[in-house]
Amino acid sequence: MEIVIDKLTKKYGKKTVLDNVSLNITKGMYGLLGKNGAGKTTLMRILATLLEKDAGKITVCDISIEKTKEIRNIIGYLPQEFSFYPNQTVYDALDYLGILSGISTKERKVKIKKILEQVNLTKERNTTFKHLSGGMKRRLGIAQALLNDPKVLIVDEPTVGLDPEERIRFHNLLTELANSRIVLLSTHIVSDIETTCNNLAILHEGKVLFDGNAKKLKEKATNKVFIIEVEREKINKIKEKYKVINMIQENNKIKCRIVSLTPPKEKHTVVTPTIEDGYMYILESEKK
Amino acid sequence: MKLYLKELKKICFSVVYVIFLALLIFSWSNNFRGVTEEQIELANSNNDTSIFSDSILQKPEEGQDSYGTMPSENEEGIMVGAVDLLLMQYESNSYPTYPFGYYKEVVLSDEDQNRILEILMEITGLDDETLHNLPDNYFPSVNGNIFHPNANVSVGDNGEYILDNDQESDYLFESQVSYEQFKELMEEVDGILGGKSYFELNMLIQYYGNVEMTYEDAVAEYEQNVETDKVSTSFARLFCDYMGLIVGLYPVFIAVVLWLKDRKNKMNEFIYCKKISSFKLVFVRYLAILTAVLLPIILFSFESLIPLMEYSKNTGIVIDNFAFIKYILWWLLPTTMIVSAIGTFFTILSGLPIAIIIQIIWWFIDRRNVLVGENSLSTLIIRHNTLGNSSAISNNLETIWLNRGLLFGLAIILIILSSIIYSMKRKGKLNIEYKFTKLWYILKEKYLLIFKK
Repeated sequence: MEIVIDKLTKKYGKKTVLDNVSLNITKGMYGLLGKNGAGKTTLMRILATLLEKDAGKITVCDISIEKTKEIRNIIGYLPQEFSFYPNQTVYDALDYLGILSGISTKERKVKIKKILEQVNLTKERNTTFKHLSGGMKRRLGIAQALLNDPKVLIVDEPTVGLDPEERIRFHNLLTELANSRIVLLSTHIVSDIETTCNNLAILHEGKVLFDGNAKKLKEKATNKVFIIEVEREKINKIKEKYKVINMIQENNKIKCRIVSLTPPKEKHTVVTPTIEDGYMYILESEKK
Repeated sequence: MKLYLKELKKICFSVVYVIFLALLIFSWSNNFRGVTEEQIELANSNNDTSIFSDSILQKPEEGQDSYGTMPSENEEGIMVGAVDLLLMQYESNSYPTYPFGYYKEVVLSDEDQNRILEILMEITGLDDETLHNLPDNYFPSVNGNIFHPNANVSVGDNGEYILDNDQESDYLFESQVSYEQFKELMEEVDGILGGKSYFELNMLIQYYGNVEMTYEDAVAEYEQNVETDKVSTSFARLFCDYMGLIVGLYPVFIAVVLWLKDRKNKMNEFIYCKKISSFKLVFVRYLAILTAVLLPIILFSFESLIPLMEYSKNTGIVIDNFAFIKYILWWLLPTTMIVSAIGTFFTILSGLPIAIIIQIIWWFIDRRNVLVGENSLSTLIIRHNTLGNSSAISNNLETIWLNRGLLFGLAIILIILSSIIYSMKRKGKLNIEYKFTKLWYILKEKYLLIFKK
């Protein structure tokens, strides 16, 4: 069970959206991190057979991406923006998409029941889509992607707009699903990856800046993350000088967590980097 | 089968389908509902003096006062009727015309009025002053659909016109031109009026070319209705004439809404990445549209078929129980197919409702056709707005078959093309929607600006 992406390139007109991307994605949860416009959605849409690549080679579980029908049989896809027919009930929506997935009536009944339990929507099976909460809608989205029991689950920015409780619930669900398949999760929110992904890649302007596990990413920022304490009026100068990750106000002073390739001249403390620090460090290094 | 039923349910519960159904019921109820029972009732009564009381089910008996009329290129009748009507319309400078099937009054300039006067003078050989002071008996008292004040017509209990038998049949009109010259002059009049006026030859034949049928003619027509058409065919044709006007346009709305629904509800990507083949999805949806459109029409046909079956049982006259279904499949199915295919094809291609504009244009152009017997290869709706007169169909049978076959074939080609385009869009190979949307908004803004000005 593996996705192999080799020198993938995609252009929109003259603009290169994916530039020589090579990745090896294995079973478990794999995070795709990057700013908006980094090329994450384009990559996911290519893997979901909704977009053609311009160059490179992709195989999903040893099947070439060109064999769309076979690929569609083994993937589940949850796009970033989606909806359902507003007056369709949860059950009807899944039943309809199950038919489109070529699942027999008997099999559909069993599967839908199981999936609804899995995504905790059994009580809402007769509720129309328009009456579901944001979190429920996302879970229904995942449910439809699971209908064909996919080997690869592709989820694009799934937690946007969810409240913290729903977000945790969603992460747990994805982690559970990743036990038996590849789950490819794209996000621009670092904390989404931190708690769930074994491996991740950072995409920036169509290029892979990092590919490895969370530990390796943190290590990249070792001795590059500092805390400096500055007076309130000097904060703008600090912002201009360094990449500030966060700020905490303490009395008249502000504690700034910064990423810097060289130790700052100001009085500072070196801190243990988090995955977010690693991500910021990688982006900062790319700038320089 | 399950997908077909799901798509059918989706269509039947949509607002656009409810509107379609309402229009269908309205049209059927206003135009055709009750016609069959009325004809059976008329056949069972012996009221043969009412002008509009002819029943195609009534067997002619020798010695009747009248056997009704039949259309014919009756030169004398056409000329006297046309001149009578033209003079009336000239005097009021009000000429009804029917471009695209809708009424439009034409008022002519002085120059054109003078030309009409010249034509009238040329045909009658009379001068301007005499034309304005014609004696009462210059035209027949009942001249086609024109009743002069000296006509002996009374109104019956049910509001119908009853023609007294002692009509003055002598009149003074005598054409000073040959029939061929007359036809050329009428063509010129129709041209001055912008076309689709009462002076088109087809219209003149319809209104003034009718000749009294002889007993033999009446028997032949009756036998045609009973033996060849098996009674029910005549009703099926009239039924399909009215229903054709609806299926010639409205299914396009159903198809457009069905396909745009996926985009509007952001369902496209869910559907695109599912296993189903593009051809299967397009074809099943197409089939569901055809079913949703034709099913109520088939049901409405029973309103006519059931009384006819009863009539057949009571009189022993054999009817064709499958006449309605045959005509629905022969006349209405190809029309519904092409209209739905246009809706499907252009919506999948553009992601916009442009198919509606295309279909409205074709429908309007097609409505220029006369009510009976004018069919060509590009005809969208077969018109036969009469009971009987089956010769109008049999004389044109080859063209009708070719036309129906052409529409059927074109519809299938459009559906195959729709599947190919849909398949390409699913793979991201075709992004023409963007260009169409851009063009659509440019045009929209441009016309909105003109409208605001």
